[in-house]
Amino acid sequence: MSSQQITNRLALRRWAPLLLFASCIFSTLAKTPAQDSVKIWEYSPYEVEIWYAFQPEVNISDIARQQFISDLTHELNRTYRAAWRIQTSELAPEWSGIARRNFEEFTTNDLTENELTLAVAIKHESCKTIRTLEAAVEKLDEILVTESGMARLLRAASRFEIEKGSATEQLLAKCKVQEGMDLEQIKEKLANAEIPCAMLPRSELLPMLEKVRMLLTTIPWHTDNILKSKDKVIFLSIGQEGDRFTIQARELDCPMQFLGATFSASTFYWPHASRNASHCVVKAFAPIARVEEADALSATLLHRAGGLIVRNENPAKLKVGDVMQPIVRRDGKNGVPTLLQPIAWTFAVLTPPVPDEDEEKESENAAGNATDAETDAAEVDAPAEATPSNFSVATDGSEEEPLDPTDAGIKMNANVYTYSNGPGLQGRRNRRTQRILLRVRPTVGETDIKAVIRNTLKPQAGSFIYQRDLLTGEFEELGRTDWRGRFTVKVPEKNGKFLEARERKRRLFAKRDAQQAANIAKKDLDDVPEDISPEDLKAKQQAVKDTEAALAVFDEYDPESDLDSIPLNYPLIEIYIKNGNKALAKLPMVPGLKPIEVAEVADDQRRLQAEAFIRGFQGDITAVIGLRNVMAARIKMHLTDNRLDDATQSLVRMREIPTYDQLNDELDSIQRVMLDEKRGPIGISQKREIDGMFQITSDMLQSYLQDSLFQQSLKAVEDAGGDTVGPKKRNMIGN
Amino acid sequence: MSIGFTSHQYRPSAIACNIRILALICLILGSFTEASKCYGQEIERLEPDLIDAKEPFDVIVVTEDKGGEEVKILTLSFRETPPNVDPKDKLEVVITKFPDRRYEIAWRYIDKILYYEQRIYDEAKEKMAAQDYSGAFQNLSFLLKNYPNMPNLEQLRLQFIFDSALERYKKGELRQTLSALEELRLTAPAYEANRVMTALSRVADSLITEYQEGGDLGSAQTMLDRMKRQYGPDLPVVTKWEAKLEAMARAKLAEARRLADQKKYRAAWKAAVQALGIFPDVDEVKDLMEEINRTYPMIRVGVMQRSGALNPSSLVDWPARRAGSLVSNPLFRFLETGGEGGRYGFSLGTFRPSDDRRQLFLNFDNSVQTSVLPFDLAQKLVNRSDPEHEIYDPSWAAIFESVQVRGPSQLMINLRRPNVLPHALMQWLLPNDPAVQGSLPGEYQLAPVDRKVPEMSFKLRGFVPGESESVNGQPVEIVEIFYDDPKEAVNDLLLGDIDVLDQLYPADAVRLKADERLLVGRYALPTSHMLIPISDHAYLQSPTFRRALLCATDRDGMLRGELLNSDSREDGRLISGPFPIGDGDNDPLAYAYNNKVTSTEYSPPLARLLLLMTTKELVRAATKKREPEPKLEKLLIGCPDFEFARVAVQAMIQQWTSVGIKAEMVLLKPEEINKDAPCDLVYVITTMWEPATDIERLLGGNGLAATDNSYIVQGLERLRECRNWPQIRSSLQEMHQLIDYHLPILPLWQVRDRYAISRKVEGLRNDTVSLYQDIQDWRILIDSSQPVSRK
Repeated sequence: MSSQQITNRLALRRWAPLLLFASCIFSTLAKTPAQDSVKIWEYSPYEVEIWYAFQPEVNISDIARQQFISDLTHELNRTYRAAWRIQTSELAPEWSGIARRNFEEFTTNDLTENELTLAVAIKHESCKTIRTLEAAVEKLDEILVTESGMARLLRAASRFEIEKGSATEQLLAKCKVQEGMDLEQIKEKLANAEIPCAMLPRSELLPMLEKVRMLLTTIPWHTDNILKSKDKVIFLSIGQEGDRFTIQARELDCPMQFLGATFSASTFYWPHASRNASHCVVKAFAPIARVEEADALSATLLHRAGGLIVRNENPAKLKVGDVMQPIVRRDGKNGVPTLLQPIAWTFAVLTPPVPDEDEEKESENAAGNATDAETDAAEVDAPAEATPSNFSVATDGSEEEPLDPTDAGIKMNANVYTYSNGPGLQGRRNRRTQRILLRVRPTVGETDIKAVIRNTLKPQAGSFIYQRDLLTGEFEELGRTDWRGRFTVKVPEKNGKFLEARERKRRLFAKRDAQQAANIAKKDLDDVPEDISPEDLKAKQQAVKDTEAALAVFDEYDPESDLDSIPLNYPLIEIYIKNGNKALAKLPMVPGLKPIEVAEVADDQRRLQAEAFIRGFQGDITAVIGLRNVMAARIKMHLTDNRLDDATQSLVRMREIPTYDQLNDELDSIQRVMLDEKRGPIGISQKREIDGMFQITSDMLQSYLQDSLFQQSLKAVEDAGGDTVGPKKRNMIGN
Repeated sequence: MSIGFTSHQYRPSAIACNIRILALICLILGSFTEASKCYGQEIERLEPDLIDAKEPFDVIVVTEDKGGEEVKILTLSFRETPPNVDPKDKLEVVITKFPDRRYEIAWRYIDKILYYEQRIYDEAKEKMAAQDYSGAFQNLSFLLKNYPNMPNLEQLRLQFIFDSALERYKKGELRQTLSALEELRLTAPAYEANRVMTALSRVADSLITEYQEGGDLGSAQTMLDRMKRQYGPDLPVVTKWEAKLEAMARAKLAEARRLADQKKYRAAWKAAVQALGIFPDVDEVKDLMEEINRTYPMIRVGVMQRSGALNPSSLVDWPARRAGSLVSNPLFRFLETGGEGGRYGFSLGTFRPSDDRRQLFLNFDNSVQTSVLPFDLAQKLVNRSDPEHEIYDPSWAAIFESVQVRGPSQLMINLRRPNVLPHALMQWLLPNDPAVQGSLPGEYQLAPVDRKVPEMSFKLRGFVPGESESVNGQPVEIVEIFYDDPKEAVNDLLLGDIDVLDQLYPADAVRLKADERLLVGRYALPTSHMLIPISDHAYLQSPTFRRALLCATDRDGMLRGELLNSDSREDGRLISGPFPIGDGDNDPLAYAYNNKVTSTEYSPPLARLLLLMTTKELVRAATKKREPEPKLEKLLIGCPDFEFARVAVQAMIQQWTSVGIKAEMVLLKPEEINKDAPCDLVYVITTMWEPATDIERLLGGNGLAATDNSYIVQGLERLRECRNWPQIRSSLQEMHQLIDYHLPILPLWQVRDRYAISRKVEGLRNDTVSLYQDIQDWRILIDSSQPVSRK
């Protein structure tokens, strides 16, 4: 018996009660294939696989390595308790190179690209109906594979116990090496449908997808199988730099095929390495929740394994204030994901439960049972439908800290923050579409927002970046994008606070109502009839005072003392990208989550250019309007004082001020230039906005300059006997 | 018989002469200016009773036996009692008390007649005797005005001048005394000739002594020259002081020689110049100066702006650009304007853009002595484009794609998109880091700076006094002397204390042009002056307020009046944007200037209105944000310590005050002119000679006027994307319009500066863009027939 086996046995003895409990649950759940596929989300522990790789430079004995793995497993089991079902195994040799070379940045494609994958020729008669591995091994006589490929298959199979009669066994049995036929020849024959099928590296098949069909090859050592059967894979790399042992951990969320960031630790003392590794794994692990219901601003989430967690410090537990990043998965008919994508610029923040009436009743009923549940986890038989949704059962055997009932939940509420006009967590719901949220794990000190113009991906330089406070709604200018369209957002020193969506909405409505009431009261007071009684007048005045006082409450808002505000556990902020007077995008983000986030914004260049000219021109108009009125007033004053010469002089000055016609011509000329398609095409919406700005300016001209102010002044001077024949030439003021 | 008054008839020449004398008298009496302008009024006001009478009157003194009474009568027609009158005859008179009646009095009852003018004359004499020169002056001026032909009046005038001058001398008023005596000598050389000359010599002696004791030997020498010229070399003061000054000059000469022997050439030259200033006729001084010039050629340059940082590519720091080109070379250097943008020089060799403008080839000239290798430069180019690097330059990064070293002497720079002027963005100083130490040094190096002295010295690199030799009179030292007062600088230039003056007022230029010893030139390119808002002053954030500032500034009046005192458009023109307007439409420099954008007119009423509008805007915004209403705090205007800028800023402060905007001037040292300067606005003189790239250097992220205005920022982006000259012109002219609309800077004027240089210095090109552009060609003419220094 090897030392590894001894260690495992010891561990088994130690965890026997827990395993017994777990096996009770899962043996029941695993009774039939159908039952197996229908896991109870909130009561199913995370199936976690730890794949570790000792790098060649690690100078530690085998015993010490086994002890490390044993200690790590123990530590993780102790940490996650019932929320995790953990397996550890050494990283397959074909992946250890990737882990060594590119641990921080490898992708799932890096893992799968060299995997031997079964592919059938689309045009081959015998393959037209083959869509699955099972069908293939049943219908096909032989599967061509290269000599080296065959060796890899056999080597990998030797690590697993292959079930008799399984598809894997049949596959291995049908794999054949044809003498003298190399990879290129097999590819050519497969592409030409000269052979029905072959097992080839996935990277070789990807360029041939028009001619071949790749099948989901769910053999035990295959990534596809891992992704289908596990919830999380934690990649763990143990290296050595001089006397220092380095640990790196990365999480792969299997259903979402989402690889997280790398978390590192190091120690000079090997016995501490397992604890460091455990910390890294805890940091790398992202608890998840599933979207149950969602509207534009809020959502109800179901906490994975939430029913198995009672301790607040359990890293698998989601807490109020946690920020979650959603990922959407859409599967094809065969269960192969056709869409796996984080929902851009969208986050959910967990809020305290707000029980509805039914739930409150359920909670009351459950409260009586909670104590029992906490004391003896083994006694709990907790079918999902019988469990209070906002209350979890103490299945992790904790006796250390009672669960905070207000902060506990299997079903959780969340505020949703999404980009402008974004769907948030809403969307089509069906069996093949899932919206899963992972708790964010910021790892870097800052994030560069890279603003690019949609479709062209041209950098959106010079746009202004604002941050809007989630609690107060106030804006703060952060800076502007550089020539690359980039702006660096640093991780704030302090996480902000926010209000639960319904509370925020309630306050908005309340403020609006108070404003309306104040306006009405004021109008009432303004419109009082002359014969109003003193009592009524006093009452109306009091009403104005009262409504204004009610409104002032909102103006005197102090965010620091707001008891309803909820502190964020992660630095979620709302960024606005603004171009001139127009907000191009609202982007919720977690600084530090990624080094770079790309924001695609609408092309706004032509509109901004037009706005630049129009705003400037409007400034000129304002000056002209003002100067005209000043001159007209002066003329009037001079005539009143019998200073005819001064009045005439002012008239001459007034005559030099641009007229409506001149300004209108200039506006037309600006409009022609701004809408000139030779300068580049203008989108329909941009054109509409540009036209709107010109219309406003034109209206401004008509309202303020198309009057008889000059003629009136002229007549007044003429009537007073002044000389009104002056220079006709008109110059632009300030232009 | 009727008695009437006859009016006096004056000859014009006599009047002129008398006015001159009166003016002189006024001067003597210490009220030169006012009295000379309005002496008539002053006299009328100051006239004592006698001369203040409404009408002149004579007095008849009746004989004792008839009572001895004095009777005032209207002036008689004769002004001297006729001889041999018959005592029985009667004299018909009009008594002033009864002007409507006529009386007769027999001559025998008349003891004597006191004529009006004679009485004034006598009174003047009495006052002079009593040393009441002010009172005597009144009488005398009255007589000179009304009775210029009175006998002995001229004698009295001369006596008055002499006596009053002596009185002034006693009071220590030497200049007035000397002036009076010289006037006396000029107008009446025969009057007390010996006494006058003795007095004159003594007064001049005292005055020269005073100059000498005050250290103003120049004035002493000038005065001595004049004395000698006007009164001959035998005048005692001349003989005495010539000997004395010569002795002093020789002592200075000895000091200069000693310093020269000690190889302290700068101090020796200074001592020699001082010796010349004391007494120019010591030939040995000139010999010594020529000797110093041969051994240690040196040029003293008067500058109106003190150098702080030394940066030959500086956009906003004229003195840094000037002096910087002495000590270092930028990688690329602007040489002159061309048909399409400027012409540039590559300090390490030659350069060539590719036909499609996507590449720039830099060819290294192996004869250029530098430690910069192609790989070093390539690394610098990459570092400049790296946002993480300390020398990151966003403008460069926006166009730079990659660089290839194509052998030991060629670099190929690949650009992101076609660019017509990539090299204009490369006017960098290569920093002195280990990789490129001493990379592109200039001809000279800065000598240790003595903060107490307003001088900076730059010494020829590699020159060791006593060991090296100057090449054909190439200056081995350039000394920059800072002048606060342009008049003093011009004076020193004329005196030969300095050889070059870097900036001149047009009026000074006209005056200096007439001096054969000097060459007055004009820089090839103008400077653009502007105010740049740099603080977060609430009002300054509003374009309406910035427009108000412009409307409140009478730029045209200031420029043509107190600043330039010139109407010539070549000297200065108003601008409506930051770009140079050049000399006209055909000036290639003006490619960025949009002539459709005219300068904002001076209009105080509009300024007041715009100020009011700004206040309303700000109050509204503050109310909305529930913040206190912003107050119009006093604006602080940072100003370089330069006469022209100081005058401009002071004038602006006055004009702004009149519309209700208070402001105060803050003098800034050159190194303080940056975004962190302790002021709200800063007066900046820019050398915007390549608008296509300089506007980015001004308004871009690293520029002094870096703006957050979206429209300007976007305009700069469009400019970067331009691929050819028509696009660049169009984009710049749009930018000009936008700047006028939104006023991120307040444009003022462009000025073409002039310089003056002694003809003994050769090598300064007529069309130089900056003073030391061709400093390597400068030579001092040692054997020139022109005097080295002053005449």
